[in-house]
Amino acid sequence: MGLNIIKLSLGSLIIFCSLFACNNSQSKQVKSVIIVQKDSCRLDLSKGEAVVLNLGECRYCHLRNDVPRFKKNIPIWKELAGMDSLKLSNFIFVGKHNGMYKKVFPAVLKRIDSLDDCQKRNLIHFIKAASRNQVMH
Amino acid sequence: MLLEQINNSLSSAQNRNMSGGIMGKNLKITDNGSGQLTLSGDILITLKVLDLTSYSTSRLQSLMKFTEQTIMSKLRGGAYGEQAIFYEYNSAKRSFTNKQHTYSIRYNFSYTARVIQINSLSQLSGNDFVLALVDDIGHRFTDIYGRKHASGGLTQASGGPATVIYSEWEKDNLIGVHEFFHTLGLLDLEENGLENRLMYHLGKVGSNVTNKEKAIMNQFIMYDLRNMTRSNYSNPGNNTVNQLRTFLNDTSNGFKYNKAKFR
Ligand SMILES: [Zn+2]
Repeated sequence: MGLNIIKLSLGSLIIFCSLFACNNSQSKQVKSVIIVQKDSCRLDLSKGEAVVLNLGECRYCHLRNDVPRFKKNIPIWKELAGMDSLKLSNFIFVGKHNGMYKKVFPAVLKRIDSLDDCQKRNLIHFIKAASRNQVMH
Repeated sequence: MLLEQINNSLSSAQNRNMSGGIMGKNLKITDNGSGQLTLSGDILITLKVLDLTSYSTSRLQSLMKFTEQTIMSKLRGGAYGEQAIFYEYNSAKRSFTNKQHTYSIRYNFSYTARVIQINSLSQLSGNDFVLALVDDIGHRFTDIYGRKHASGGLTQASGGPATVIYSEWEKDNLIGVHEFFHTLGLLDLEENGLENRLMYHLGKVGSNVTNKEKAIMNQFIMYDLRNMTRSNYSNPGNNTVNQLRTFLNDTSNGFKYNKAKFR
């Protein structure tokens, strides 16, 4: 069951990348966003959560559960979390959600473009947490 | 008329089969016409308590009652969410269109909570919420200031099983709610000055829950807005028994409990 979900999300990833150019220059751009570590940017789940809320709440479409998923090819939250950080950054910040922000959610596009590096990194950190079986105290 | 009959029989069949941690009835979206959607209805939250301790838990019933009352009082009164960018709601068709719309979401559910004790795993369904009582937790964590702490409870975030050390729960009655609210999606707080907050976790927890935290829990509870377009709702399976088993067996958590009671 879990394996099928992984296969499914990998499958849709490959489709995304082939349909919506993940070209080299774009990848490089994101790499620098992710790798450059600024001391002033502390990764913190609550900061990442604040970004999600500010973007208009991604989790109404990227649902918590896959039964039923929002639409057949829309990854659930955990599947997004399972992508590696670079791919996830490409998906959100470079490919702009397969061009969907521009087409369907222009308001999100505006907010995405106004995020600073630290907010971007915290957003990725927050999404990725869902794949880490986060233990709370 | 015929359609109505079919709808009615469908919803009564749904009613009969409904179980789980979240059960909603009379769900309704109200669009005020100027960008606000109000979500209302009756929501029953059930938390099942599984006693895995090796000693007497004489105050358990009163702690459960207290926890039940607190969950209710913290969730009640509604909450205002952040601006949500989603699809436009069509009130006449009771469905969402394919066009973007920005809404402010007002949560106005009427909450009831039930905290009940179960005696075996057979009373735990895949979509239930669980709070397991244990003897001890060996896990230690480091806070943002670099200090190490033990913890009176441990919960797998967002939907996962919650645990508390029974003796710690007796000393700090709010720990049960604190842990359960992690299940409902809330994060821990560590910053100085937040000691009065329920989600503060360095030492004794406070009791305050902010509007934002309430909105986050409401969003967790009604995470798929399309469920609001049906009048009844019960949360999907979350594999609770397996999740609890895996969580308890994870050696990095360092749980001590009466294994004979885990059956
Ligand atoms: Zn906590």
